Amino acid sequence: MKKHVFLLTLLMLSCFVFAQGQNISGKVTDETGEPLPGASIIVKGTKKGTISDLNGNFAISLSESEKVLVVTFIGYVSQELDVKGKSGITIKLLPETVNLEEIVAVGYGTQKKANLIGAVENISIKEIENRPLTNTSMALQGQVAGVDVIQGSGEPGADEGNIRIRGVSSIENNNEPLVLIDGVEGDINQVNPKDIESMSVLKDASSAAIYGNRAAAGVIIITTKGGTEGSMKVSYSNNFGLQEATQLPTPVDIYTWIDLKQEMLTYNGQKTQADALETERAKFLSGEKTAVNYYDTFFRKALQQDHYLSFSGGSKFFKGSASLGYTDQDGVLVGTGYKKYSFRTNSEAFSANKKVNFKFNLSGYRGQRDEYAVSSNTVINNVHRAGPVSVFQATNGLYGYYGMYYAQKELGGGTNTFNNALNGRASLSFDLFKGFQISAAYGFYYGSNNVSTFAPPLYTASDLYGDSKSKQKSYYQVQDVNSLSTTLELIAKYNNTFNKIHKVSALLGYSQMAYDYDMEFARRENYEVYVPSLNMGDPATQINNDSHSERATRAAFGRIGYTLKDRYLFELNTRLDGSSRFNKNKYGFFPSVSAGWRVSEEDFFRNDGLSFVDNLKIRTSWGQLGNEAIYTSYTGFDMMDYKSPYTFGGLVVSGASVTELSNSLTTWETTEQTNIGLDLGILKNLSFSIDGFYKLTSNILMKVPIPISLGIPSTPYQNAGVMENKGLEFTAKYQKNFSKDFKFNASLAISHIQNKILDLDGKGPVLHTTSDNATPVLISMEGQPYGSFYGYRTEGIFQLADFTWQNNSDESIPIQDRTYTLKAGIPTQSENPLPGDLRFKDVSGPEGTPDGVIDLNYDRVIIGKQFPDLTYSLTLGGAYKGFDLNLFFYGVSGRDAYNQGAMVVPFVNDNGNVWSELVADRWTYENPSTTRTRLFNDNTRLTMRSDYYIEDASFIRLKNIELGYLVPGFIVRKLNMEKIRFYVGVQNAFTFTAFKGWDPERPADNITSDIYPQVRVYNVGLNVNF
Amino acid sequence: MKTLRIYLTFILGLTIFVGCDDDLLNKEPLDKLTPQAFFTSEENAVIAVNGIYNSVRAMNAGREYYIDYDCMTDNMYNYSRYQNTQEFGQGSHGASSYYAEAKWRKNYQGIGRANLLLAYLDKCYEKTVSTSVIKERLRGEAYFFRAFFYADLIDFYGDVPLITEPVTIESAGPRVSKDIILQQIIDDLDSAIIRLPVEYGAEDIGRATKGAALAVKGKALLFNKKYAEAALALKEVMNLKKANGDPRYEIYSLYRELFLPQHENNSEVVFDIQYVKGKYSEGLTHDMFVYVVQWNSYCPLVQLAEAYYTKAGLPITSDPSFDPAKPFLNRDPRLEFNIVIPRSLTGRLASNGSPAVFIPSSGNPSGLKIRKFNDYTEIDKNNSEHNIILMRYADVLLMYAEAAVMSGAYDDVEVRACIDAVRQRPAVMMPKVEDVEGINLNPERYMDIIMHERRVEFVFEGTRISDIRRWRIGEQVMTDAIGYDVAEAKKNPPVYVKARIDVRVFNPNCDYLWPIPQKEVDSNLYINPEDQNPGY
Repeated sequence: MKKHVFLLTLLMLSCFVFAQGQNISGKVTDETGEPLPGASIIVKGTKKGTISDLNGNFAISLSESEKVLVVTFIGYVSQELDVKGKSGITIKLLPETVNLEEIVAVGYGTQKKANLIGAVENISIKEIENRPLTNTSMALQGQVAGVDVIQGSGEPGADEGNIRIRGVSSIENNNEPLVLIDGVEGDINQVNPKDIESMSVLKDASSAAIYGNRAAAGVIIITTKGGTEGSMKVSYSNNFGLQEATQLPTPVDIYTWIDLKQEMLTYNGQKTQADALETERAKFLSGEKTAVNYYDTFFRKALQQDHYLSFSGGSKFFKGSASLGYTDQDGVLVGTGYKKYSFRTNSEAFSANKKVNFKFNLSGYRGQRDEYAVSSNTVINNVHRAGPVSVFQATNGLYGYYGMYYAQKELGGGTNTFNNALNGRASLSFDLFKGFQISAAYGFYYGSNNVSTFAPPLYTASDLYGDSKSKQKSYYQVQDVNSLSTTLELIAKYNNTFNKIHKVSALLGYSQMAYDYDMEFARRENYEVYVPSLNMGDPATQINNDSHSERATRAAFGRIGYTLKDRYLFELNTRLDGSSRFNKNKYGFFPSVSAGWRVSEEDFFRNDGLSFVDNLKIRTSWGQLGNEAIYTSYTGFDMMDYKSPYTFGGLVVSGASVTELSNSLTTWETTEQTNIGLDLGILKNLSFSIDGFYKLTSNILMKVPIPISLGIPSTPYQNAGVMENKGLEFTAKYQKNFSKDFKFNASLAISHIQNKILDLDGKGPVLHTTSDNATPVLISMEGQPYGSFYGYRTEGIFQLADFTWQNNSDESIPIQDRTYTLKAGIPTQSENPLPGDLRFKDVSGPEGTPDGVIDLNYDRVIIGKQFPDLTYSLTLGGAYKGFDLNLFFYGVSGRDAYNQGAMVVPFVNDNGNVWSELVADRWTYENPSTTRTRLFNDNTRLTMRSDYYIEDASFIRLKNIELGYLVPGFIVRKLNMEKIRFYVGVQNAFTFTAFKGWDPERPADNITSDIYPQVRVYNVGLNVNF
Repeated sequence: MKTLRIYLTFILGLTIFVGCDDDLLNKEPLDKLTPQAFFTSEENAVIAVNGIYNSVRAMNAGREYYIDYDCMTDNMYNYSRYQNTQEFGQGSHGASSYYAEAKWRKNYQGIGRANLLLAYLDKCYEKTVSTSVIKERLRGEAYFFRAFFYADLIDFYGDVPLITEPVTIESAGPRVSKDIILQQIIDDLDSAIIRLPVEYGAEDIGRATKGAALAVKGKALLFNKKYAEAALALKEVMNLKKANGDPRYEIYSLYRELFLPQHENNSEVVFDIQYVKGKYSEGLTHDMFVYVVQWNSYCPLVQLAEAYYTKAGLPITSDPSFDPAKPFLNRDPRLEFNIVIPRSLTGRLASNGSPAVFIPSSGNPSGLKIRKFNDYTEIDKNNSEHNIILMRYADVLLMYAEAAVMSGAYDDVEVRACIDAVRQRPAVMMPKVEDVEGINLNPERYMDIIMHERRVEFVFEGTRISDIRRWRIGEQVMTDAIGYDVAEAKKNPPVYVKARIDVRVFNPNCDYLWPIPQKEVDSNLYINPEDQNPGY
């Protein structure tokens, strides 16, 4: 280092002496001395530049003020070189390797990767920047071991990922990580992925403890791109994609459908109805009616496009950047789509002595989402229900019931959602004396969400000709939500090195945040006109209400770091955090300690012929984190409302009562986490990381039932319950340039997390609601993982031999005419089974032993788990000359999914579609299957939960494949540009899975196929830099 | 250096600004009121009292109605197990049964609201020099309700937790002896009686009166076998006078109409739940329409039909003129006021416009339907203002007669007068007691008469279940539910063949009390499984 300073000083002196124009010639080589043709040489701060020739040689002339060259070549670390006074130079570029000098964002600061003790992972933005991502959360998927991201759906505007860092730690509350965007708490999806400079994930307690009672679910720190010194640089990129559903069910055709329905009705003992279907068949055969495939009617291939334009530039004293983004995405479900406009400006100014720094960031977006008047999932549910016999459009043009959504859209109906957000932060810092800096920052986040839904007045045809029609309910409703949060932060930092070997750092900070929330809602019904306005509805049907709340937090925090001889690392983080949510126990204290040993820095290590080891570090940490994110802002107040009216003398009078009981002792959940990790880097191009952790959450905030005799209808939060997560994370990275033309990199991340609920404090099992809001199938109970699947255990299929029938089981009675009664000794079920139905296991009864009756209270057991045993991802990248190819695989194994609902149960609502998968091995009189049921049409069976519907949802998915081509430098130079790159790619290209349902990548609470499908995107794009 | 000072001042200034903001972490709710903020005016005190009345309405809402309790007795059977009464009739109910929890929950909800008012009422007048004429009345209403709800609790559950203050999350308490609770009830009612008016102006009709408080007091005492004191309280009700000197309560001349909205607030009503058409009409009729007219899930039993005397005032078993083939001839008119019998007119119009005739179908397992409360001409099923009477003067008279007889010191003439007043209602006009049974009867005989009279008079009003339990006649009356074989009863003319429609079991060791709800046992630290009522 000292040598560099000396050289630099020398160079600067020489600049001073020879301040005049010069011609420079030179050569660019790789680390072995081989020439690198096509390297780009640019004069810093200008657009002036050249390209090295086939022998790596270049020549350039500089004006008097120009003295620094920037040399770049893909796959190599860029170099800046002061060439003042030099003429012939050789520039040796080093390949990009695992970089220990990499700077990683940590809580309230940055740190060199080499000195990290916590489990912090930095995400390489380069690898994701060309994927057709519509949100930032999905950019995290597969990037970090221990971070699980599941995409909820492929619906435009609602396709964000659900992020869980090291498992779930709370039961009924928020498990979302804390996301800080340039220091301001926000929503990860509000950031345009292309605006991101770096993203780091703080997984363990020592890294996150400085964020105290908001950090139990982990922390994600996002830093956006700022300006760079030099003249204006412009970059533009675009992406055009064609989306299609990854998978759609194939329903059986009309004639098969009629055959199957006749079979089903016959088996149900409804022979007459079965025979009556022949008239329906005749209508299709004669061409009077046409079968409709509603999947074809409602799903399409849809276009999407994305444009991003950014500017940056600056001088020594002022740097700035600005960007604009535009995304327009049609949905694969007809009638849905999303548009998003975003902007960001980051600017930074320095005082003359560079001691004072002022930063100001402002960003925002507006999203507009189009849907039907009902949710897309409801529409999709109706698509399942709309079998081939259902009339889509009558001959007189009137739409049938299942075509109603088309009619709604044509009449100007639907749901429009506008999301607006504005996010800003201003900070001022001052270097008071050597190593000591103080700063103050103020940030705000304003968000609004306006949803308006219009179901216009319309009639649907009840028959093929539209002669009989029915009026559908019309209504208009609006909901406006506005929220504002503000943050104020004061920080003092100190960094110094004593006697060359004692590195000391300290940080002391104060932060306060305030949140405001407002919601207004209004609705009217019975519209006669097609004007979506409250004024046009029937005033007698009006509903309106609102909700307001505010809360605040206040914290003091600090950090002390000490490094001895660059190899013994210690750190202490604490935060004292207060929250207005709590009454008596407002403040919590969250300490953490960590220590690391860079073994590879030891002398003995260097001397023992172990020089192939670049880095060996052992890390360990312990700490406590909190979670206060419960769904109420006021735990310390009994609350009254006016929802208890009465009537006297025929008139309505107001009545009030206490409906919410306070629990003034409520306080945060505490998560204690221990982490042990090891980093190993060898041969300059291979690195490994292994982390093991144990996470114990106690005092979990739950709504534990209170005695009914207290007379209060609601249940306040109480601190009860304990849950653990333990896991192992493994990451390997490899990067090598085999020659100047061929480079290769690979990275692998694997994680294993095991979750278990240890104690629910007498609350008893928590049943979670699922997407169909019917009998719960997800349960959290003691000794089991959070949200396990819960239902009957099946014991095969009922066969004819399990039943008796009329006349002492007279064999001569035709099978379909028998009245079946279960034989004695076989456990009875409330829904009388028939041959071909599921047979459930009689697990227990009121006396603790099987009681011969299958019932919900005693016979349901854990039948599956929602969390995978392993989550893994593999990235492979290679470049040959101008071409580059990237593959990204993501997979999970050992994960169950529950697959029931309209697609899995045939003839839903009588005329629903029949999924061809169900037909193949079904139970019939001729084929008495022991594994698959008969066909039935029974809404009760639609929600009878059993392991029959559990499927292995393990999958490996080629998430993204991308082939790029970098236009050669000499062409680019001629166009007076810096870089031109074209690429083509496919997102969600292939999936390997045994899962039979719609798509294995789905949240566990989505148990039906009423899900907006995931999409495969074929895309092309362009990146240019000026 | 100057700029340095400016920046430093700025940062220090912020620090000071921050340091002064002490209220940052003390946020109060913005869209709801705390009791401290709410109880600041008389208007709000009135609103809080109205909230207590709302919880009485809750006793007759959701999935349970007073009429449902008759399905747990020998009066009715409900074949829909989703209406949750069947298991009580069958004796298979337990601590997790819906009703066991619902009754407990709703009573304690009302108690909580009354406790809140009693604790905060004075605070409403702190900032004003009170000249209020209604302040003490409001207090009286709260006392009335607290007693009303506790009386129901000890009737069904025996010993229960006693809570008399606004609750916190730590307020749970153990079961307290029924005698102590009864004392609290009597004290509360005495406090109510001196504060409540005899009658209200038109805008307050439906509020608790002095008569209601006295009647509830008499009932609570009677149900707890304090006969002499019960008789005193009930006698006071009978002596109440309006401002003009007329008696406050009288037996209404009509019987069927007594329960229809057009005749609400009549002279016989002592206390009722008020409903109004349009809003807050979710009383009885919506569900009665569905359950009675459409589903027929309420099935009056043959046991009930047979309990009605013949016109001669005799049981069917004692009247030689009774013809089992034509069982509905010459019977107490209340039989057909309360029950729709096969081939009678329902009062509804059939789809062709002609009056609808009731023909039993498989949907009427007992072959009988309810007529009481039902206005079969009502088609607006979501919209009725039918008031539910919880205490009427006929009950006061019969309770008085019972209390007097049971106390041992009774005036024979007075007892007969009370009973006769009920059975000689102009619309009913059954023979006087003395004309059938004679005079100067012994207490046992009078009790037989009173027990019969209560059953046929108050049928479907939810009183039978308590009567069975306090008279300890469960083993005797809770026999298998009998209906008419529908296949026979639908014939024209109907043929009456009795058939068992439900198997019933009554266990005297436990069924005289309901179980403490399982959720209370699970969540109340002071009530352990061994504190549960016997047999559950």
